[in-house]
Amino acid sequence: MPIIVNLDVMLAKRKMQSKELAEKVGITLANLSILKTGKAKAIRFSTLESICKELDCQPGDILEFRNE
Amino acid sequence: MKSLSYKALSAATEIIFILYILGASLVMGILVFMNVEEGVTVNLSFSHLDAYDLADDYKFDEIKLESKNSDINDPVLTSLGYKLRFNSSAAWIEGGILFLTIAAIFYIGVILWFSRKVVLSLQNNSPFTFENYRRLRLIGILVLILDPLKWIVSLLIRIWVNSNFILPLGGKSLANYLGYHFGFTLGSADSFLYNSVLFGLIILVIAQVFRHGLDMKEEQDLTI
Repeated sequence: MPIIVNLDVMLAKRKMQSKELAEKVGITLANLSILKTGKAKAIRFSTLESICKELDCQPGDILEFRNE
Repeated sequence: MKSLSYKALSAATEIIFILYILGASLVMGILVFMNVEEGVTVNLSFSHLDAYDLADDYKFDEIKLESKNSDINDPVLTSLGYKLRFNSSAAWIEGGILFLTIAAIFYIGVILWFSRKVVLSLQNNSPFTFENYRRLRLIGILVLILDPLKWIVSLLIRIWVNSNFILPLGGKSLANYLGYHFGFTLGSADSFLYNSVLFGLIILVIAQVFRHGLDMKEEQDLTI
């Protein structure tokens, strides 16, 4: 998928586990890994808002467009 | 789904299926154990609509017919329900009747079985699965060709009757009004275009809706 989700970088910077983030955002760990591995087809703005809030970052910090 | 209407639907489906199995076993039992040994009495009857149509032309009680075939005994044309009745001990006639009955029972049985499977699959999960799409597609096709098939069998029986019996000629050719009666009449004069063909098409449309629902569900499942 040309939109890459770079959660690992942000998680490392904030020293947070995936499981912890999933709990705080309110999604399952499975769904979070779907997001990380690029299998997701869409993300809700509410979910994106939650993630950015917990990781204290901008959407552009975790979403990247690669023209392939 | 836990709603009352779903519980009613699944209860009705189970009851219909069980009744069908019981009825089919009964019919098969009667056919096999009571008839095959002593020879079978076959009743070919007119569909109800045609009986009204013919009533004025054939006011008789019973007419003994001539058969062109030694395997067929005592053919009789009776106006009670407009039937052509005969006895036969020939294996191929008994075999033919058995085959038709088994085929019809199996055909409807398959439709009921897959309908039941679809209803049961609604219980806990989303109904939009690939399995349900395939089942609905199969049911749709079976229902679609049901009436045309009946019509073809009727045609074959008509041809067979014409070649094996000498029928009284009248204003109408009697053989064209006969079908084989076993629980439901294989009516011959009805057009097949407005019966199961329409419902078969509707079911096929529903199958496509399920296919679309499947795509939508997949999309939704991958929306985080």
